[in-house]
Amino acid sequence: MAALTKAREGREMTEIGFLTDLGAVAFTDGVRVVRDTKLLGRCMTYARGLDALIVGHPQDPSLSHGAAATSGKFASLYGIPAVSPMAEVMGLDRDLALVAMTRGRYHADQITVAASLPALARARDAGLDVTAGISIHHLTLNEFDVGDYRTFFRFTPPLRSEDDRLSMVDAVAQGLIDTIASFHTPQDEESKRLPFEAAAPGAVGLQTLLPAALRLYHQGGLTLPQLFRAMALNPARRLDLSAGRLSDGAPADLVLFDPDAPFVLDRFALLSKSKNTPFDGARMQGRVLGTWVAGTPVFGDHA
Amino acid sequence: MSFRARHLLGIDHLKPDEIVSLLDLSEDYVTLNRRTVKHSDALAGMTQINMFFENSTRTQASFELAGKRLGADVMNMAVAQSSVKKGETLIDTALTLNAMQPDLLVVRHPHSGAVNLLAEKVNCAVINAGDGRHEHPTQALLDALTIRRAKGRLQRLTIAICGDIAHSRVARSNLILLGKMENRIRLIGPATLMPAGVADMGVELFEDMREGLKGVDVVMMLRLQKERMDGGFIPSEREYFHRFGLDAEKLALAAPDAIVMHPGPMNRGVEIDGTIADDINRSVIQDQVEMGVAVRMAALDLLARNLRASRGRTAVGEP
Repeated sequence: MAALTKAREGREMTEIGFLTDLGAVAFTDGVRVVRDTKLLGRCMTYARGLDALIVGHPQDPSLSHGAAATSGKFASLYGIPAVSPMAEVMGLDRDLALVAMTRGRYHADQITVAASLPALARARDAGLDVTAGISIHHLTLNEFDVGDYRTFFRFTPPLRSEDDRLSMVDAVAQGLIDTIASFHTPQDEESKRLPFEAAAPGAVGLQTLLPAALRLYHQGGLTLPQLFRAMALNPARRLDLSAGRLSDGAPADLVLFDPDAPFVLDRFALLSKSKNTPFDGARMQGRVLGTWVAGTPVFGDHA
Repeated sequence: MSFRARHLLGIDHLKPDEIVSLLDLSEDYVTLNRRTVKHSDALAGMTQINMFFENSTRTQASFELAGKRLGADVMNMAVAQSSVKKGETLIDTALTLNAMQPDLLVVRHPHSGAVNLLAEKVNCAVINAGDGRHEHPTQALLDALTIRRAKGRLQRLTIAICGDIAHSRVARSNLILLGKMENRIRLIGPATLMPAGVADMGVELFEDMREGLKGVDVVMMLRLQKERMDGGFIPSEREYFHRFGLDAEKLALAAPDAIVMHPGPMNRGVEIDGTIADDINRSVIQDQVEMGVAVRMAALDLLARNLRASRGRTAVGEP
């Protein structure tokens, strides 16, 4: 993926054509919302001609400015600056209206609250080229996990209520939310050893993506085929990659895992240089035994 | 004494009997503080460091006086925002201080939870002197002591907390303490200054101050924290005073013997009329300041006792 605007400053669009020629499959400013609606609209219009996908972060930037939690009783009692879930709905509504206006290809990076789902469903029904994703953390954790200001549980957007989490699991099951991603966000120790609202958001997620997702399978929220679609098939299709499926000519990108193998996660045992995982000390079930990229073993006993 | 905690980080972790024992000990210190010779040796030889990451005159003075009257060596560190960039060096600062072997650390910080974080890193006892919009436990305790002395009890009272609830750690700590002691709490203020989810906290909400003050035993005013505001929470100070400022006419709706409280510093003419604040028959604002020193002495004393007890248990082999 490439930046959507130069230096992700939201002022000028990047060279979407050149970048596409060089292999960029999607364009995004990450969690920085493009505030200028006219510019985002032009990006969508321009990208449409190149069949380029734009990945947006649906969030009203002024409402969510400075927020580190979802507003509600928990955030109020702990005195954490918070934002209403409606900020996501407003951001999504704006982006979807632009898609209707420009007929661009659009993917919402993280849909995390139930209130966003009707707008998403309406856009689909209207035939707009819109998909949506969610992070594994918003599917497996809720706002109370923050507990006593645990900064490894600070995310953008912030963790949501348990009701919202359950609605999101259901939305993945129904296919309204297409993709589950790791939102792998390494942060050094110092950035997390700060008061909650001053700490950097995000968590490493690559290595815990599968075992965390299998929690949803073991709890009965999602089946293995549903997880496969959300984590492999749908993302590959959306990005026009030949991976994510077994077929003639497709690269043999494979993972072998034991869905039942239990283990307790030790963050210092993670292979990532950064150890900021919210699953430190968590009991998990599901272990990767081997990984192949284009037929070559890269991890596990066969590597 | 039933107070067993190692730190005083918030009211949330205290049980009602711990609150009562803290207040009971505070009474002894009220008596001591009214003598000519206001001195005890409860903290003799101990070191107390007051570390204020946010400017404060009153609270810092109160803690300083409390420590000195108990015989501690007290040091004030003004770690204002200008010198320390937000929380960046908070843990380093804590570790540096910890190496100087203090016994008691009094901390104020602009971020919620910062004092909890610091308490995890040090060996001494920590008192939260206010963290962000989270808690300010000694303020709630001094308010409770003031109420108990004025009303003769700390239960079954109807208490109105008025003003900027959303940005106030004083309101949060008071809400928790007064709730634990089984009082009826009313929150009064414009909806823009009410925290989200407050309706689930077992309180009554009023946007009409006249309605909210009817028959209450205690009127607790909050400072309109202008410096905390992003801007645009209220249209103007004069409209705020008109709707939510405490004046004689609104106070007349409360119980005839209702007391008026304010944590200070006051904005006269914004949240409270000057004549009400100065009315010695109604206002207990000066008592609150006096109780503040006594409550902080009690808190320092109890934490020091617990610290000595824990060191006694671990210091095997020392002479």
